[in-house]
Amino acid sequence: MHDIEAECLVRAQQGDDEAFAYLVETYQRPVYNLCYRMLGNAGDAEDAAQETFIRAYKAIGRYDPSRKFSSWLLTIASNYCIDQHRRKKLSTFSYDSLPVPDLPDKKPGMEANLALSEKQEQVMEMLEVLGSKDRSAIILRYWYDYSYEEIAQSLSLSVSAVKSRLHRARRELAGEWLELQEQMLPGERTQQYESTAV
Amino acid sequence: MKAQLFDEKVLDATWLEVEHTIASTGMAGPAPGFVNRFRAQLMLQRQAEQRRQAWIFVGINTVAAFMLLGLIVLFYLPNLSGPSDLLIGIAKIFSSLVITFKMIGGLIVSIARTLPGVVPISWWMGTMTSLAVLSLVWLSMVRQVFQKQGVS
Repeated sequence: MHDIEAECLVRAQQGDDEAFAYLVETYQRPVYNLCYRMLGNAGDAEDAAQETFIRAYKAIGRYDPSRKFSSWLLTIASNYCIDQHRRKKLSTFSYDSLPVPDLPDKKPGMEANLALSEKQEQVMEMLEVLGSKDRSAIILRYWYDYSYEEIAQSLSLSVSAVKSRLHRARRELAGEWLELQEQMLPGERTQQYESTAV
Repeated sequence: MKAQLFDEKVLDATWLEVEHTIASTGMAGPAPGFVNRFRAQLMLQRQAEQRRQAWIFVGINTVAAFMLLGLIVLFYLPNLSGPSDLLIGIAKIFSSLVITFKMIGGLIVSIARTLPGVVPISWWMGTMTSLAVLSLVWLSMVRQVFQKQGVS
């Protein structure tokens, strides 16, 4: 953890709002990304990310500094999203509400942008087939490089349960991917493989 | 479950493709101004919390007032046989309350007249000043609470 961040954490625990705002600035993207991947909708993701930071703000006094702050935040976010997911039982994904994508520094141009957007749509479509905990485990593993132990801690599961959930989720996603490829027209498939290879 | 439709080896090979796709999608980010929206949200939450506390305060006071009123009624109206008794009882309550307040007032006045000779003037001035300051603080707090609720 950076020195500035550690100092901000201490100050935030003492009730300094500006220090907490710095933490929000620093972690807005990972928290938002988790919420977006979990809920599949930019509007819901924004609300969930805001709620995560509000909850963190209220609970910052109970934060244990021996734990990684990002893990603590992402645990709050994933628990909130799992609850939301269970409540809403999201079955459809709105293509109109894509988030601001994380674009590379060099301007990729419209085609690459479109390909990126299409990929995001495909990934979101695939993630929708998973249950909320499986989805959370996949996101933490493949977007945040979490270890099995870290995922287990975040989702209050045993390590073996995480392994089995990930195995099942990977199979489901692969099955879904094959299904999607079969549905695609041959021309689209070629275009998609080209964009993946870039 | 679609995975059951495919061979295990095919699924393993496909997963690598999926993993590659996931890795290439990167992190999604919020629209610009997220921190400012958070600040606004936090402000709203605080206001809502203050309103909630104000309503709890008003609620507790109302319940206490009703309980006190109930106790007074139970104390002063033990036996009622009709509406005329009720009216007389209410009149009695008010008259006895007035008498009680007058008695308390008389007691305070007599103490106020007797004590200055016994207690030093500085003590009196200190007490009166602190009472005045406390009353002002209390009044300003009540005003703030009601202003936040949009009452005044």
